[in-house]
Amino acid sequence: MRSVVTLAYWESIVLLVGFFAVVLWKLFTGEISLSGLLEGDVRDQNSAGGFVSQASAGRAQSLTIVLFVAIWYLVQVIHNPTEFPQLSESMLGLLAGSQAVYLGGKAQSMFLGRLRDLLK
Amino acid sequence: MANEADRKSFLTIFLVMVVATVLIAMGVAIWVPGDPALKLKLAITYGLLILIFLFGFVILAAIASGRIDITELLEEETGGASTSRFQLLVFTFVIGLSFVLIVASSSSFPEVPANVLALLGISASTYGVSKGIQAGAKNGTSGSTTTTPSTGPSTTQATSGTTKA
Repeated sequence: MRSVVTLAYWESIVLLVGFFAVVLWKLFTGEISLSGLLEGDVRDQNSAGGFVSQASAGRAQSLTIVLFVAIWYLVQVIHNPTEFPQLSESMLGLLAGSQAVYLGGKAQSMFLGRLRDLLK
Repeated sequence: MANEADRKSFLTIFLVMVVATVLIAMGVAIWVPGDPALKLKLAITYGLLILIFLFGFVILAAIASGRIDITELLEEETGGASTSRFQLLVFTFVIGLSFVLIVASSSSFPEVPANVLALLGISASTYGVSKGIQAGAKNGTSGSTTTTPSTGPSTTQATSGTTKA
């Protein structure tokens, strides 16, 4: 039965790593496009479609925090690959806060429009 | 015509996989020593493992060759990449790769702590709420459903109701 476990183990590693590698390869070669990643839609009465796209600070901060948490987590796993590392509550809070800011900004811009227009 | 050729090609591959699985299971049942109950158990186990691997490998090869198209994995209807999709992909990758590394290192199924589930929960909830906002904005907007050409990164006209997540 030991050989069955070994076979299952290698099968799952080959399939998982293969899938990750294919998606990463397509991301790096541009087949999966990342253009417009930092642009969000803003409600605009004057545009034909009702929305215009513009650079979003909320998306930029969200992306920064996501990459920070993701890289931090991977480094922890590489240093000690025997168990899932513990994420501190402050780290989870940081991520949740960042995502809340992103979603709040998105809701505001899509339902109400630009903040500077609201404050006029 | 291309779809018909694809269908035939996949059917052939499927049949080859099933035949290979049956042959391997029969080989295990014939040549592995032991009592008949153990032989049957091993034959079924090896057969299922190999069949699952072959299915996965065919899907992986189809993705790699472009027959299964994942080029719009991160795209919204307007064509731009979605931040919420991207962060969900990043965290899925991170937890998946961590899982592979931990299993490879400890050779056992790891205990998944609550904070990892919370991490994935935050990520998936962000995606879900983002889609909700998008749908809400779509329902709250009436007007044209055409998209006008882009005039620059900060003045791209978006289509009503087809907004980025």
